[in-house]
Amino acid sequence: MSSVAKVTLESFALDATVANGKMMVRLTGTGDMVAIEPLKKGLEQVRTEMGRLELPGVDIDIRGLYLLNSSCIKALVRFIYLVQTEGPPMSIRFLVDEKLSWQARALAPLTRMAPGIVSVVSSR
Amino acid sequence: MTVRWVSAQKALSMPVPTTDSRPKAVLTITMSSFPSARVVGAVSRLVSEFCYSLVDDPDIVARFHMAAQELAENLAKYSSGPDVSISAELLGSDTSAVLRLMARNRGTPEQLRDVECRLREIQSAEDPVELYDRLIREVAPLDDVSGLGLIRIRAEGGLNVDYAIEGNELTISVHSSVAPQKGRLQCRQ
Repeated sequence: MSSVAKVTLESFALDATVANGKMMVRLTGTGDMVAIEPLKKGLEQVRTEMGRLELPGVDIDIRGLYLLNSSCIKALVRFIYLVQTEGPPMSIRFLVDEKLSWQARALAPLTRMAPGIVSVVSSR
Repeated sequence: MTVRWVSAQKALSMPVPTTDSRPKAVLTITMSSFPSARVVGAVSRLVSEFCYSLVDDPDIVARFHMAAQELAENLAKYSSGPDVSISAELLGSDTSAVLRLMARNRGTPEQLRDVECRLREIQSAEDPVELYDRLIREVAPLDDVSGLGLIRIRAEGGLNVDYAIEGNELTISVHSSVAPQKGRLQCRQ
């Protein structure tokens, strides 16, 4: 059971669940100016919850995202930075749609930033 | 908000690397009010649909969609006056075409100094990916600052970025060579 608050906006949603010892965070809709604050808040709750449940890894599924703007990327950058500097230690795996080439391209800087923590997996 | 979508228009003054700089198709969106977050999204989607109607490659359309979103958000965040515009144009011939976005807004002297400093660094970067990675490392500890939109257009999008400042007006141009959809383009001419 995850206590990360579900976000359901007209254009953006964040839903976190825990199963088989792993957290799954699904982002859907449009990662634009409207999504920034809910995303930042949600990621902070994810970090807290990962520590409370002592989970080793989180999957962040962006396959249902239509767009990810630079401010949302920055929110992910800060999430990774805080994991690196304050913990809790965890692996962060992004799931991207192999048919939407922009998704892997947008996340490539995150794997370069923290290659030991962040990975990107393409699938349908 | 005014939207114009025409098949030919007088060429704009900012140069692009093509032998024929006459626009084959132009979409111009002008606003005399600060665009809201919802309007920014609508503008970038409209620009993306326009590009998709002209260019065969969905990957290049996705790069321009990203650029249109970043440029439109900049218009919303960094304009000192409400008169802003964004345009998309297909220039050149069927065999050597260029797709170009242009965003125009007015800024305060301080805003223009800041953005010029960033744009000069982006334009002159020999390795834009290395610059993008460095800027990410710099802003990672900061809570509210992004500052990644313009470098992202060049480093992630692989698009060319130019700019001009005349008085208090800033114009940012983003462009790339493309392979246009010949059939669709000819139908409009």
